[in-house]
Amino acid sequence: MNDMITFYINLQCKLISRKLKRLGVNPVLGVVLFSIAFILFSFMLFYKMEISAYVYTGIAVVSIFSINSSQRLGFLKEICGHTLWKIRLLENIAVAIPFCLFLLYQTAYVFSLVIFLFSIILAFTPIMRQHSVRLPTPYFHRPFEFIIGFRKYLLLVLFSLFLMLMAYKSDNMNLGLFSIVIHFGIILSYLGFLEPSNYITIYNKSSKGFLIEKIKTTILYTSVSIFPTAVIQLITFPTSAIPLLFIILIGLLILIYFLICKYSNYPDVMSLPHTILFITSIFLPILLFYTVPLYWKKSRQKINHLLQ
Amino acid sequence: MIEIKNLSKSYGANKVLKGINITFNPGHIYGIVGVNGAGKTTLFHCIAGLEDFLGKIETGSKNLHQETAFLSTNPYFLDRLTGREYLQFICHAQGIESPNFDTRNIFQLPLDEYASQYSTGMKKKLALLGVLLQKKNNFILDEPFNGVDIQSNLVITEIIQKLKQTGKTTLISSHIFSTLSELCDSILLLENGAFSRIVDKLEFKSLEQEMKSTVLGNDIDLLELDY
Repeated sequence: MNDMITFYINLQCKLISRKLKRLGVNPVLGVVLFSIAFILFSFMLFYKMEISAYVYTGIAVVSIFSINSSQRLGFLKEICGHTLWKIRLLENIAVAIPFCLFLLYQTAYVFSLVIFLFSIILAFTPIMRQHSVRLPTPYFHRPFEFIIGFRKYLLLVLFSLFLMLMAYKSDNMNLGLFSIVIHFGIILSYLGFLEPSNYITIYNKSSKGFLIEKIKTTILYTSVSIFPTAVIQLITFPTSAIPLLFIILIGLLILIYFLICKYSNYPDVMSLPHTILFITSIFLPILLFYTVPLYWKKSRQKINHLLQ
Repeated sequence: MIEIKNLSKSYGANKVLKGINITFNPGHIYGIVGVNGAGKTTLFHCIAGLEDFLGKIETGSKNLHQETAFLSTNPYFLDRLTGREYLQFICHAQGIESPNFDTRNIFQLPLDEYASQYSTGMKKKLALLGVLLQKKNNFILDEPFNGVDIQSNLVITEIIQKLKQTGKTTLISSHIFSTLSELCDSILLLENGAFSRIVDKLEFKSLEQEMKSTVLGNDIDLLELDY
């Protein structure tokens, strides 16, 4: 069976390497960059926030959960049977260890232990089949990205609400604003889902009409999502009205910009160079004069191809 | 042989299987039919050891998975995994020596391409090759003909008949009645979480007629297709 584990580790390395290549980045460089980004992010989080250990633990738990999807585990169980727990244990610990080590470095021993134990316990829990729970959402039927995203990232949504609660309890205005920024990040991940082509061809619209429809529903449902936390923030910290409005406005503009970019490479995901250009243009808005018309044109071309 | 005693399975308050008792004998092909959501896949998952359940299933081994190979309705493959790597993974997991996959590739699949990018039928055929590699005594094939081309359909039919000849226990679910009636020794109708009918070859025709009259009725008129 050790042979199986060795084979599986090698296989996973190959799959990660292929995914990085698909994003247009050298695998070795990708791993190095990712490691540096992880360390920088960890230091930044602990430098900026008072309750960073809680936030960090939350991120670790969500990361461990993300490799425990029922579909993926179902596939592995069909192949590995009762020895699946070995793979689950190995993978969960592999994801948990960087978080645990950093928490140990920050002398947050209890949090480190909690993450480590969680990764072990999860390896022995039964697979949660998707059809066992039908989760209601606050959205109606139209924007499937929101419905799917809400169900998929519910833990993250709850986490952002938890941050808002902590902001209220610790009288920390910045933390409240941060929780809203996190919520925008979660919605960005909803929109990151690339739908199959039949979800586009069902529209009886031009490419322009399709994109405008997407933008309208994104604005509407983002507002619905953000509304409760924004109201709590306003009531608790009335002086934060201007930064709050600024965050909402910028957040909506980034989501719209992302939507326009998303379809420019359809049916493929945005390549790494495109992603870098996307992020750079957010920090250097002058670039938007070049990128927005470019992505708009490219997206329309891609969608036109399907809607014709 | 698969012996099922008092098998029950629930998802929350939803009781999908309600105390099933049945024995599936070696060298026989059983067809399981029932409406969508009747619990066929759940039953298969339980027998293959992929789901927890109440009751007892005996397959001649302590571990269900050791004796039973399962072909899923919609086989899922890890992103960026090639067909060949999938088959190699199965061999390593089952502790069997990897055969020459190219000579075994009777469906002429592009084994060095990503399995997740295969068509529905190709995915099914790759998963079937994986199932057959496992050298088990019980085979559960959940809609094996789904999305498969006509040539491969004939090959799969032959494979299933060969399994019967070599004394394997085979369970198939399919929504194509003619295929089931051609292949199976018995057809079992799963309704409301239990087998409501078990029909042998001689009665297949009457079961089909009965199902047609029950299912069709006047429901098609509700679709208002005469616009």
